[in-house]
Amino acid sequence: MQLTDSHKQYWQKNIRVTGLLLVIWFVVTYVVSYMARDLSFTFFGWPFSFWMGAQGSLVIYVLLIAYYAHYMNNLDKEYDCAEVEED
Amino acid sequence: MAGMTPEGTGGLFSGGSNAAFKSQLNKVYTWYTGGFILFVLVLAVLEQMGMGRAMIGYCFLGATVLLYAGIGVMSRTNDAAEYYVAGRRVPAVYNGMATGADWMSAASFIGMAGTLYLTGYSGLAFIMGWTGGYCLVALFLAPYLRKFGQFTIPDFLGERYDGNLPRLLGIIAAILCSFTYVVAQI
Repeated sequence: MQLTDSHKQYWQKNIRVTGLLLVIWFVVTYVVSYMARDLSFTFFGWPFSFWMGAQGSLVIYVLLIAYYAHYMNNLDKEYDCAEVEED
Repeated sequence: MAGMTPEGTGGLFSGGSNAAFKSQLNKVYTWYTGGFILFVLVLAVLEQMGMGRAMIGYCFLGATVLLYAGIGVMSRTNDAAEYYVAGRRVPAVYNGMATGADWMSAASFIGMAGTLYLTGYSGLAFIMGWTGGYCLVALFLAPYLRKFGQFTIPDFLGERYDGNLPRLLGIIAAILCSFTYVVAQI
């Protein structure tokens, strides 16, 4: 299949948003746990790193997924490759 | 129920339009929720009337097995796409509810409480791992799995990277995950 310009553009945007979200994911998961000792200031009455592990990171994960789904839905509509639901 | 014919897809969810499928699905979900609430209420009344704890356990076990059997009979089919992914017609919200129900398993409620009590901060790796894993699935696998039209992740990897080695790696990862998960469950 020959890739058109709009295909390439779509894929570029897809890659960009995936990469951006992945960077956030990496910071939340690995950087925060790696620096857990330094980040233990109080947050909502808990040490920050504990709170991140138990709740904060999960909230951020859900937001990442929601944003990705929302963004890709819009992108699909914009480039006219959304899945049409037949009745 | 018009499900006695040997050929065709049979079952409650066979054929029909997407809209009909959705309304049928809503009906089944409503019945299920109502039935579950009723079941719990009846058990609560029976418990007040002095039913033993073991008996309640058997009731739950029996009801669960019967329910699964009932679902299997209701939605039986000969079509592979119907069998594995319900014809790819289940709305996203319902799939999300199913995923959420999988997340909130015995391992998360009972196993995690013990693990965290025992290991402290390191135990949080389990929670971050199996929730953060959803991000990787959402970004790398889920969108393409559907587009490639495969049913399982090893199948998808085999198709995408065109070979049996990626498929084998996928299978090994799946077995490893299930094994760890069952250990946490026990």
